Amino acid sequence: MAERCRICGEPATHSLGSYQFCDRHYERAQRQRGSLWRADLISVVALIAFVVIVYALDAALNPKLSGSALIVFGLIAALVPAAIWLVFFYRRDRLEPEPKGMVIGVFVIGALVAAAVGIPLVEDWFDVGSWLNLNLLTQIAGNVLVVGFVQMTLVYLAVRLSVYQSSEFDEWTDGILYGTAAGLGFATVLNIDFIAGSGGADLGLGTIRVALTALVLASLGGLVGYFLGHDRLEVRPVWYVPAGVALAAVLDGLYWFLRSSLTGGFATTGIPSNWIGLILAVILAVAVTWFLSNAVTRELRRVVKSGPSAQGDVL
Amino acid sequence: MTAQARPALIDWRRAWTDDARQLVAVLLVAALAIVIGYGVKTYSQSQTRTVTAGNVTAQIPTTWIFQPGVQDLLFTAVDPRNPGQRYSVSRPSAGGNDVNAVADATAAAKSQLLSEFGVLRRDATTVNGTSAPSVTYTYVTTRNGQLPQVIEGRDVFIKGSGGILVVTFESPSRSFDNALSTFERFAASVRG
Repeated sequence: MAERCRICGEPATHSLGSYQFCDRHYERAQRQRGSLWRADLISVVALIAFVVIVYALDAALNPKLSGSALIVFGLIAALVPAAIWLVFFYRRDRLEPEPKGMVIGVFVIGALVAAAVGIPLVEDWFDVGSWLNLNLLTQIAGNVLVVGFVQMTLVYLAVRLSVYQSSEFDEWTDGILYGTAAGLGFATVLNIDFIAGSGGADLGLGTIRVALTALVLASLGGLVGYFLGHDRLEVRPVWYVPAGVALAAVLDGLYWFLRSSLTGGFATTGIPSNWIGLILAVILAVAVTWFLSNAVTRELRRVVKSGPSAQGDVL
Repeated sequence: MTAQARPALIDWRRAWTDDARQLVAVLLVAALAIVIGYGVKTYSQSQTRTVTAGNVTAQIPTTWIFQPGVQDLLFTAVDPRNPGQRYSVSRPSAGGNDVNAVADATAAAKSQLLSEFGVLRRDATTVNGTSAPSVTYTYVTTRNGQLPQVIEGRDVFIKGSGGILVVTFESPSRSFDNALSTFERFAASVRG
Protein backbone atom coordinates (compact mmCIF):
# COMPACT_ATOMS: atom_id res chain seq x y z
CA MET A 1 0.00 0.00 0.00
CA ALA A 2 1.41 3.45 -0.96
CA GLU A 3 2.44 5.64 1.95
CA ARG A 4 0.38 8.77 2.49
CA CYS A 5 1.42 12.25 3.64
CA ARG A 6 0.75 12.66 7.39
CA ILE A 7 -0.62 16.15 6.84
CA CYS A 8 -2.78 16.04 3.69
CA GLY A 9 -3.14 12.37 2.82
CA GLU A 10 -1.61 12.77 -0.66
CA PRO A 11 0.94 10.16 -1.83
CA ALA A 12 4.10 10.56 0.23
CA THR A 13 7.51 11.24 -1.30
CA HIS A 14 9.67 11.85 1.79
CA SER A 15 9.92 10.72 5.36
CA LEU A 16 10.94 12.36 8.63
CA GLY A 17 11.54 9.61 11.13
CA SER A 18 8.48 7.37 11.00
CA TYR A 19 6.17 9.97 9.42
CA GLN A 20 5.65 10.33 5.67
CA PHE A 21 5.19 13.63 3.79
CA CYS A 22 4.41 14.87 0.28
CA ASP A 23 6.82 17.31 -1.43
CA ARG A 24 4.91 20.38 -0.29
CA HIS A 25 4.58 19.42 3.34
CA TYR A 26 8.13 18.04 3.53
CA GLU A 27 9.34 21.47 2.47
CA ARG A 28 7.01 23.22 4.94
CA ALA A 29 8.08 20.91 7.77
CA GLN A 30 11.59 22.36 7.41
CA ARG A 31 10.55 26.03 7.25
CA GLN A 32 11.22 28.49 10.06
CA ARG A 33 8.66 31.27 10.46
CA GLY A 34 10.86 34.19 11.49
CA SER A 35 7.89 36.54 11.54
CA LEU A 36 6.60 34.83 14.68
CA TRP A 37 9.61 35.73 16.84
CA ARG A 38 9.62 39.32 15.61
CA ALA A 39 5.88 39.64 16.24
CA ASP A 40 6.31 38.16 19.74
CA LEU A 41 9.13 40.49 20.72
CA ILE A 42 7.55 43.61 19.17
CA SER A 43 4.29 42.74 20.95
CA VAL A 44 6.14 42.61 24.28
CA VAL A 45 7.65 46.06 23.62
CA ALA A 46 4.30 47.48 22.42
CA LEU A 47 2.52 46.06 25.47
CA ILE A 48 5.03 47.63 27.84
CA ALA A 49 4.62 50.94 26.00
CA PHE A 50 0.83 50.63 26.35
CA VAL A 51 1.12 50.02 30.10
CA VAL A 52 3.56 52.89 30.62
CA ILE A 53 1.37 55.31 28.64
CA VAL A 54 -1.85 54.36 30.49
CA TYR A 55 -0.08 54.44 33.85
CA ALA A 56 1.47 57.86 33.11
CA LEU A 57 -1.85 59.26 31.88
CA ASP A 58 -3.59 57.89 34.96
CA ALA A 59 -1.01 59.49 37.24
CA ALA A 60 -0.96 62.81 35.36
CA LEU A 61 -4.68 63.30 34.68
CA ASN A 62 -6.06 61.27 37.60
CA PRO A 63 -9.33 60.65 35.75
CA LYS A 64 -12.32 59.95 37.96
CA LEU A 65 -13.76 56.96 36.16
CA SER A 66 -16.23 54.90 38.10
CA GLY A 67 -18.90 52.27 37.66
CA SER A 68 -19.68 51.29 34.09
CA ALA A 69 -17.11 53.69 32.55
CA LEU A 70 -14.32 51.99 34.50
CA ILE A 71 -15.59 48.53 33.52
CA VAL A 72 -15.82 49.51 29.84
CA PHE A 73 -12.26 50.83 29.88
CA GLY A 74 -11.11 47.68 31.66
CA LEU A 75 -12.77 45.44 29.09
CA ILE A 76 -11.15 47.36 26.24
CA ALA A 77 -7.78 47.10 28.02
CA ALA A 78 -8.31 43.33 28.38
CA LEU A 79 -8.54 42.97 24.59
CA VAL A 80 -5.51 45.16 23.81
CA PRO A 81 -2.78 42.48 24.28
CA ALA A 82 -4.49 40.10 21.85
CA ALA A 83 -5.08 42.90 19.34
CA ILE A 84 -1.44 44.03 19.50
CA TRP A 85 -0.12 40.51 18.94
CA LEU A 86 -2.51 39.74 16.07
CA VAL A 87 -1.74 43.04 14.31
CA PHE A 88 2.02 42.61 14.51
CA PHE A 89 1.87 38.95 13.58
CA TYR A 90 -0.20 39.50 10.45
CA ARG A 91 1.82 42.53 9.39
CA ARG A 92 4.94 40.36 9.46
CA ASP A 93 3.44 37.17 8.09
CA ARG A 94 2.27 38.41 4.70
CA LEU A 95 4.32 36.02 2.55
CA GLU A 96 2.44 32.87 3.52
CA PRO A 97 0.06 33.77 6.29
CA GLU A 98 -1.79 31.31 8.48
CA PRO A 99 -5.56 31.55 7.86
CA LYS A 100 -6.84 34.41 10.01
CA GLY A 101 -10.03 32.52 10.79
CA MET A 102 -8.04 29.57 12.10
CA VAL A 103 -5.86 31.69 14.41
CA ILE A 104 -8.82 33.72 15.68
CA GLY A 105 -10.82 30.49 16.07
CA VAL A 106 -8.16 29.00 18.35
CA PHE A 107 -8.07 32.30 20.28
CA VAL A 108 -11.84 32.04 20.79
CA ILE A 109 -11.60 28.37 21.85
CA GLY A 110 -8.90 29.34 24.39
CA ALA A 111 -11.26 32.03 25.72
CA LEU A 112 -14.22 29.65 25.86
CA VAL A 113 -12.40 26.90 27.76
CA ALA A 114 -11.18 29.51 30.25
CA ALA A 115 -14.73 30.75 30.83
CA ALA A 116 -16.42 27.35 30.78
CA VAL A 117 -13.86 25.20 32.60
CA GLY A 118 -10.74 27.07 33.76
CA ILE A 119 -12.24 29.78 35.96
CA PRO A 120 -15.05 27.65 37.47
CA LEU A 121 -12.60 24.83 38.22
CA VAL A 122 -9.91 26.97 39.87
CA GLU A 123 -12.01 29.62 41.59
CA ASP A 124 -15.20 27.75 42.47
CA TRP A 125 -14.45 24.05 42.69
CA PHE A 126 -10.91 24.37 44.08
CA ASP A 127 -11.73 27.70 45.78
CA VAL A 128 -8.02 28.53 45.72
CA GLY A 129 -8.60 31.88 47.44
CA SER A 130 -9.45 30.11 50.70
CA TRP A 131 -6.31 28.02 51.06
CA LEU A 132 -3.64 28.99 48.53
CA ASN A 133 -1.91 31.50 50.80
CA LEU A 134 -2.00 29.49 54.02
CA ASN A 135 1.72 28.65 53.92
CA LEU A 136 4.67 28.24 51.60
CA LEU A 137 3.80 24.63 50.69
CA THR A 138 0.23 25.45 49.69
CA GLN A 139 1.38 28.49 47.75
CA ILE A 140 3.87 26.56 45.62
CA ALA A 141 1.91 23.30 45.32
CA GLY A 142 -1.41 25.02 44.72
CA ASN A 143 -0.07 27.41 42.10
CA VAL A 144 1.76 24.64 40.21
CA LEU A 145 -0.58 21.65 40.60
CA VAL A 146 -3.90 23.45 40.37
CA VAL A 147 -3.48 26.83 38.65
CA GLY A 148 -0.56 25.86 36.38
CA PHE A 149 -1.80 22.42 35.34
CA VAL A 150 -5.41 23.51 34.80
CA GLN A 151 -4.39 26.49 32.66
CA MET A 152 -1.75 24.73 30.58
CA THR A 153 -3.78 21.53 30.08
CA LEU A 154 -6.71 23.58 28.82
CA VAL A 155 -4.46 25.57 26.48
CA TYR A 156 -3.07 22.24 25.21
CA LEU A 157 -6.57 20.82 24.67
CA ALA A 158 -7.72 24.02 22.91
CA VAL A 159 -5.05 23.41 20.25
CA ARG A 160 -4.94 19.62 20.29
CA LEU A 161 -8.67 19.11 19.81
CA SER A 162 -9.13 21.83 17.20
CA VAL A 163 -6.46 22.86 14.71
CA TYR A 164 -3.92 20.08 15.43
CA GLN A 165 -5.49 17.62 12.96
CA SER A 166 -5.91 20.32 10.31
CA SER A 167 -3.74 20.43 7.18
CA GLU A 168 -2.84 24.01 8.17
CA PHE A 169 -0.90 22.65 11.15
CA ASP A 170 2.11 21.72 9.05
CA GLU A 171 5.16 23.66 10.29
CA TRP A 172 7.34 23.51 13.38
CA THR A 173 6.28 26.98 14.43
CA ASP A 174 2.55 26.39 13.89
CA GLY A 175 2.25 24.81 17.32
CA ILE A 176 3.85 27.89 18.90
CA LEU A 177 1.59 30.20 16.89
CA TYR A 178 -1.64 28.41 17.80
CA GLY A 179 -0.50 27.80 21.40
CA THR A 180 0.14 31.54 21.75
CA ALA A 181 -3.31 32.31 20.31
CA ALA A 182 -4.99 29.87 22.76
CA GLY A 183 -2.99 31.32 25.68
CA LEU A 184 -3.99 34.85 24.71
CA GLY A 185 -7.66 33.83 24.51
CA PHE A 186 -7.39 32.26 27.97
CA ALA A 187 -5.67 35.38 29.35
CA THR A 188 -8.29 37.69 27.84
CA VAL A 189 -11.10 35.91 29.69
CA LEU A 190 -9.10 35.86 32.94
CA ASN A 191 -8.63 39.61 32.58
CA ILE A 192 -12.29 40.26 31.81
CA ASP A 193 -13.24 38.14 34.83
CA PHE A 194 -10.82 40.11 37.02
CA ILE A 195 -12.12 43.49 35.82
CA ALA A 196 -15.78 42.53 36.04
CA GLY A 197 -15.23 40.90 39.44
CA SER A 198 -13.52 43.95 40.93
CA GLY A 199 -16.11 46.38 39.58
CA GLY A 200 -13.61 47.95 37.18
CA ALA A 201 -9.96 47.91 38.17
CA ASP A 202 -7.91 51.03 38.85
CA LEU A 203 -6.71 52.27 35.43
CA GLY A 204 -2.96 52.00 35.97
CA LEU A 205 -2.93 48.90 38.16
CA GLY A 206 -5.57 47.18 36.02
CA THR A 207 -3.52 47.72 32.88
CA ILE A 208 -0.45 46.19 34.55
CA ARG A 209 -2.51 43.17 35.57
CA VAL A 210 -3.92 42.76 32.05
CA ALA A 211 -0.46 42.98 30.47
CA LEU A 212 1.28 40.52 32.78
CA THR A 213 -1.50 37.90 32.51
CA ALA A 214 -1.38 38.13 28.71
CA LEU A 215 2.44 37.91 28.59
CA VAL A 216 2.62 34.86 30.85
CA LEU A 217 -0.19 32.84 29.27
CA ALA A 218 0.74 33.72 25.69
CA SER A 219 4.40 32.79 26.12
CA LEU A 220 3.67 29.58 28.04
CA GLY A 221 0.93 28.71 25.55
CA GLY A 222 3.64 29.03 22.90
CA LEU A 223 5.84 26.66 24.92
CA VAL A 224 3.07 24.03 25.07
CA GLY A 225 2.55 24.57 21.33
CA TYR A 226 6.24 23.94 20.61
CA PHE A 227 5.99 20.42 22.01
CA LEU A 228 2.74 19.84 20.10
CA GLY A 229 4.28 21.10 16.86
CA HIS A 230 7.31 18.87 17.28
CA ASP A 231 5.08 15.87 17.96
CA ARG A 232 3.05 16.65 14.82
CA LEU A 233 6.07 16.37 12.53
CA GLU A 234 8.21 13.73 14.23
CA VAL A 235 7.44 10.66 16.29
CA ARG A 236 8.34 11.52 19.87
CA PRO A 237 8.46 9.38 23.03
CA VAL A 238 5.12 9.12 24.83
CA TRP A 239 6.37 11.32 27.68
CA TYR A 240 7.39 14.16 25.36
CA VAL A 241 4.21 16.27 25.14
CA PRO A 242 3.19 15.56 28.79
CA ALA A 243 6.66 16.78 29.79
CA GLY A 244 6.13 19.96 27.77
CA VAL A 245 2.74 20.63 29.38
CA ALA A 246 4.23 19.89 32.82
CA LEU A 247 7.16 22.27 32.18
CA ALA A 248 4.78 25.05 31.17
CA ALA A 249 2.55 24.32 34.21
CA VAL A 250 5.53 24.49 36.59
CA LEU A 251 6.71 27.79 35.09
CA ASP A 252 3.15 29.14 35.21
CA GLY A 253 2.68 28.14 38.85
CA LEU A 254 6.08 29.45 39.92
CA TYR A 255 5.37 32.75 38.20
CA TRP A 256 2.10 33.28 40.11
CA PHE A 257 3.79 32.16 43.34
CA LEU A 258 6.68 34.61 42.88
CA ARG A 259 4.35 37.39 41.88
CA SER A 260 2.15 37.02 44.96
CA SER A 261 5.19 36.59 47.23
CA LEU A 262 7.03 39.64 45.89
CA THR A 263 3.99 41.89 45.75
CA GLY A 264 2.31 40.65 48.92
CA GLY A 265 2.73 43.81 50.95
CA PHE A 266 6.26 43.44 52.22
CA ALA A 267 8.35 43.85 49.11
CA THR A 268 11.78 45.22 49.95
CA THR A 269 13.30 45.38 46.49
CA GLY A 270 12.99 49.13 46.15
CA ILE A 271 10.89 48.67 42.99
CA PRO A 272 7.23 49.65 43.32
CA SER A 273 5.57 46.30 44.05
CA ASN A 274 2.91 46.73 41.34
CA TRP A 275 5.61 46.68 38.66
CA ILE A 276 7.45 43.61 39.95
CA GLY A 277 4.86 41.23 38.50
CA LEU A 278 5.13 42.90 35.10
CA ILE A 279 8.94 42.82 35.16
CA LEU A 280 8.85 39.09 35.99
CA ALA A 281 6.34 38.50 33.18
CA VAL A 282 8.53 40.34 30.65
CA ILE A 283 11.57 38.31 31.73
CA LEU A 284 9.57 35.08 31.38
CA ALA A 285 8.13 36.02 27.97
CA VAL A 286 11.51 37.07 26.51
CA ALA A 287 13.25 33.99 27.94
CA VAL A 288 10.59 31.62 26.56
CA THR A 289 10.66 33.31 23.13
CA TRP A 290 14.46 33.12 23.05
CA PHE A 291 14.36 29.44 24.06
CA LEU A 292 11.73 28.58 21.44
CA SER A 293 13.53 30.45 18.67
CA ASN A 294 16.77 28.62 19.44
CA ALA A 295 15.08 25.26 19.89
CA VAL A 296 13.26 25.46 16.54
CA THR A 297 16.41 26.64 14.74
CA ARG A 298 18.43 23.80 16.27
CA GLU A 299 15.85 21.15 15.43
CA LEU A 300 15.42 22.38 11.85
CA ARG A 301 19.20 22.40 11.38
CA ARG A 302 19.27 18.79 12.58
CA VAL A 303 16.49 17.79 10.17
CA VAL A 304 18.15 19.52 7.21
CA LYS A 305 21.56 18.08 8.09
CA SER A 306 20.18 14.54 8.21
CA GLY A 307 18.64 15.29 4.78
CA PRO A 308 16.73 13.07 2.38
CA SER A 309 19.56 10.57 2.17
CA ALA A 310 19.48 10.00 5.89
CA GLN A 311 15.71 10.25 6.27
CA GLY A 312 15.09 8.44 3.02
CA ASP A 313 12.81 9.05 0.03
CA VAL A 314 9.71 6.99 0.04
CA LEU A 315 9.49 6.58 -3.69
CA MET B 1 -12.84 -14.10 18.79
CA THR B 2 -16.00 -13.39 16.80
CA ALA B 3 -16.03 -11.95 13.30
CA GLN B 4 -17.64 -8.74 14.61
CA ALA B 5 -15.08 -8.25 17.33
CA ARG B 6 -12.08 -8.47 15.00
CA PRO B 7 -12.77 -5.27 12.99
CA ALA B 8 -13.42 -3.40 16.23
CA LEU B 9 -10.00 -4.44 17.54
CA ILE B 10 -8.34 -3.38 14.29
CA ASP B 11 -10.09 0.02 14.46
CA TRP B 12 -8.92 0.45 18.03
CA ARG B 13 -5.32 -0.33 17.03
CA ARG B 14 -5.50 2.15 14.16
CA ALA B 15 -6.83 4.84 16.48
CA TRP B 16 -4.13 4.13 19.07
CA THR B 17 -1.57 6.19 17.21
CA ASP B 18 1.31 8.23 18.58
CA ASP B 19 -1.02 11.25 18.66
CA ALA B 20 -3.62 9.39 20.72
CA ARG B 21 -1.00 8.07 23.13
CA GLN B 22 0.33 11.59 23.72
CA LEU B 23 -3.20 12.93 24.33
CA VAL B 24 -4.00 10.20 26.85
CA ALA B 25 -0.61 10.68 28.54
CA VAL B 26 -1.19 14.44 28.91
CA LEU B 27 -4.64 13.84 30.39
CA LEU B 28 -3.24 11.28 32.84
CA VAL B 29 -0.42 13.59 33.97
CA ALA B 30 -2.83 16.52 34.36
CA ALA B 31 -5.33 14.39 36.27
CA LEU B 32 -2.57 13.16 38.59
CA ALA B 33 -1.39 16.74 39.24
CA ILE B 34 -4.93 17.93 39.94
CA VAL B 35 -5.66 15.01 42.29
CA ILE B 36 -2.46 15.79 44.24
CA GLY B 37 -3.47 19.47 44.23
CA TYR B 38 -6.84 18.52 45.69
CA GLY B 39 -5.02 16.53 48.36
CA VAL B 40 -2.90 19.59 49.23
CA LYS B 41 -6.08 21.66 49.49
CA THR B 42 -7.81 19.12 51.76
CA TYR B 43 -4.72 18.72 53.96
CA SER B 44 -4.12 22.46 54.30
CA GLN B 45 -7.74 23.15 55.21
CA SER B 46 -7.64 20.46 57.88
CA GLN B 47 -4.63 22.04 59.60
CA THR B 48 -6.52 24.31 61.98
CA ARG B 49 -6.60 24.90 65.73
CA THR B 50 -9.28 26.20 68.02
CA VAL B 51 -8.65 29.54 69.76
CA THR B 52 -10.73 30.74 72.68
CA ALA B 53 -11.33 34.17 74.19
CA GLY B 54 -13.93 34.34 76.94
CA ASN B 55 -16.64 31.96 75.80
CA VAL B 56 -16.01 32.65 72.10
CA THR B 57 -14.12 30.12 69.98
CA ALA B 58 -12.93 30.13 66.36
CA GLN B 59 -10.91 27.90 64.04
CA ILE B 60 -7.72 29.36 62.56
CA PRO B 61 -4.91 27.75 60.53
CA THR B 62 -2.13 26.39 62.72
CA THR B 63 0.37 28.77 61.16
CA TRP B 64 -1.55 31.92 62.12
CA ILE B 65 -0.66 34.07 65.15
CA PHE B 66 -3.27 34.49 67.86
CA GLN B 67 -3.35 37.71 69.89
CA PRO B 68 -5.81 38.11 72.79
CA GLY B 69 -7.57 41.48 72.85
CA VAL B 70 -8.68 43.93 75.52
CA GLN B 71 -12.05 45.50 76.33
CA ASP B 72 -14.51 44.91 73.43
CA LEU B 73 -11.89 43.26 71.25
CA LEU B 74 -11.80 39.56 72.11
CA PHE B 75 -8.91 38.47 69.90
CA THR B 76 -7.06 39.05 66.63
CA ALA B 77 -5.55 36.45 64.30
CA VAL B 78 -2.85 37.27 61.76
CA ASP B 79 -1.44 35.23 58.90
CA PRO B 80 2.33 35.82 59.14
CA ARG B 81 2.65 35.46 55.36
CA ASN B 82 0.17 38.32 54.93
CA PRO B 83 0.87 40.48 57.96
CA GLY B 84 -1.27 43.32 56.63
CA GLN B 85 -4.38 41.15 56.88
CA ARG B 86 -6.09 40.93 60.26
CA TYR B 87 -9.00 38.77 61.36
CA SER B 88 -10.65 39.70 64.64
CA VAL B 89 -13.70 39.12 66.79
CA SER B 90 -15.15 41.70 69.18
CA ARG B 91 -18.23 41.97 71.37
CA PRO B 92 -19.22 45.63 71.47
CA SER B 93 -20.83 46.94 74.62
CA ALA B 94 -22.80 49.58 72.69
CA GLY B 95 -25.91 48.79 70.66
CA GLY B 96 -27.51 46.09 72.76
CA ASN B 97 -28.80 42.93 71.11
CA ASP B 98 -30.08 44.46 67.87
CA VAL B 99 -27.63 43.55 65.09
CA ASN B 100 -28.56 46.58 62.98
CA ALA B 101 -28.12 48.94 65.93
CA VAL B 102 -24.71 47.38 66.66
CA ALA B 103 -23.78 47.75 62.98
CA ASP B 104 -24.71 51.45 63.09
CA ALA B 105 -22.84 52.02 66.34
CA THR B 106 -19.75 50.19 65.09
CA ALA B 107 -19.61 52.20 61.86
CA ALA B 108 -20.12 55.43 63.78
CA ALA B 109 -17.33 54.55 66.20
CA LYS B 110 -14.91 53.68 63.39
CA SER B 111 -15.71 56.91 61.57
CA GLN B 112 -14.51 58.77 64.68
CA LEU B 113 -11.31 56.73 65.02
CA LEU B 114 -10.11 56.01 61.48
CA SER B 115 -8.75 58.49 58.95
CA GLU B 116 -10.78 58.98 55.73
CA PHE B 117 -13.24 56.32 56.90
CA GLY B 118 -16.09 55.60 54.51
CA VAL B 119 -18.69 52.85 54.17
CA LEU B 120 -18.47 51.23 50.74
CA ARG B 121 -21.62 49.14 51.03
CA ARG B 122 -23.95 47.63 53.53
CA ASP B 123 -25.66 44.37 52.77
CA ALA B 124 -26.34 40.94 54.20
CA THR B 125 -24.20 37.83 54.06
CA THR B 126 -24.95 34.25 55.01
CA VAL B 127 -23.00 32.72 57.90
CA ASN B 128 -23.75 29.08 58.74
CA GLY B 129 -27.05 29.34 56.91
CA THR B 130 -28.14 32.47 58.78
CA SER B 131 -28.38 35.93 57.27
CA ALA B 132 -26.09 38.45 58.96
CA PRO B 133 -25.63 42.18 58.31
CA SER B 134 -22.31 43.07 56.70
CA VAL B 135 -20.61 46.45 56.38
CA THR B 136 -17.69 46.90 53.96
CA TYR B 137 -15.63 50.01 54.60
CA THR B 138 -12.34 51.67 53.80
CA TYR B 139 -9.90 54.00 55.55
CA VAL B 140 -6.34 55.21 55.23
CA THR B 141 -3.59 54.29 57.67
CA THR B 142 -1.33 57.16 58.67
CA ARG B 143 1.39 55.59 60.80
CA ASN B 144 4.55 57.60 61.48
CA GLY B 145 7.41 56.69 59.15
CA GLN B 146 5.20 54.76 56.72
CA LEU B 147 3.46 55.71 53.51
CA PRO B 148 -0.32 56.05 53.84
CA GLN B 149 -2.07 52.85 52.86
CA VAL B 150 -5.67 52.28 51.80
CA ILE B 151 -7.23 49.58 53.99
CA GLU B 152 -10.42 47.79 53.11
CA GLY B 153 -12.42 46.08 55.84
CA ARG B 154 -15.57 44.11 56.40
CA ASP B 155 -17.60 43.68 59.59
CA VAL B 156 -20.06 40.80 59.85
CA PHE B 157 -22.50 40.95 62.75
CA ILE B 158 -23.66 37.62 64.18
CA LYS B 159 -25.79 36.83 67.18
CA GLY B 160 -23.94 35.02 69.95
CA SER B 161 -25.21 33.65 73.24
CA GLY B 162 -23.58 36.52 75.17
CA GLY B 163 -24.49 39.30 72.73
CA ILE B 164 -23.69 40.43 69.20
CA LEU B 165 -20.30 39.38 67.88
CA VAL B 166 -18.52 41.48 65.26
CA VAL B 167 -16.28 39.40 63.04
CA THR B 168 -13.89 41.73 61.21
CA PHE B 169 -11.45 41.37 58.36
CA GLU B 170 -9.08 44.16 57.32
CA SER B 171 -6.54 44.07 54.51
CA PRO B 172 -4.60 46.39 52.21
CA SER B 173 -7.13 47.20 49.52
CA ARG B 174 -5.30 45.44 46.67
CA SER B 175 -5.36 42.04 48.39
CA PHE B 176 -8.77 42.34 50.06
CA ASP B 177 -10.81 40.42 47.49
CA ASN B 178 -8.33 37.52 47.31
CA ALA B 179 -8.74 36.76 51.01
CA LEU B 180 -12.51 37.06 51.29
CA SER B 181 -13.15 33.34 51.06
CA THR B 182 -10.64 32.77 53.90
CA PHE B 183 -12.54 35.35 55.92
CA GLU B 184 -15.84 33.64 55.18
CA ARG B 185 -14.45 30.35 56.53
CA PHE B 186 -13.09 32.15 59.58
CA ALA B 187 -16.45 33.85 60.23
CA ALA B 188 -18.28 30.55 59.84
CA SER B 189 -16.06 28.99 62.53
CA VAL B 190 -16.83 31.61 65.20
CA ARG B 191 -18.97 30.27 68.04
CA GLY B 192 -20.01 31.86 71.32
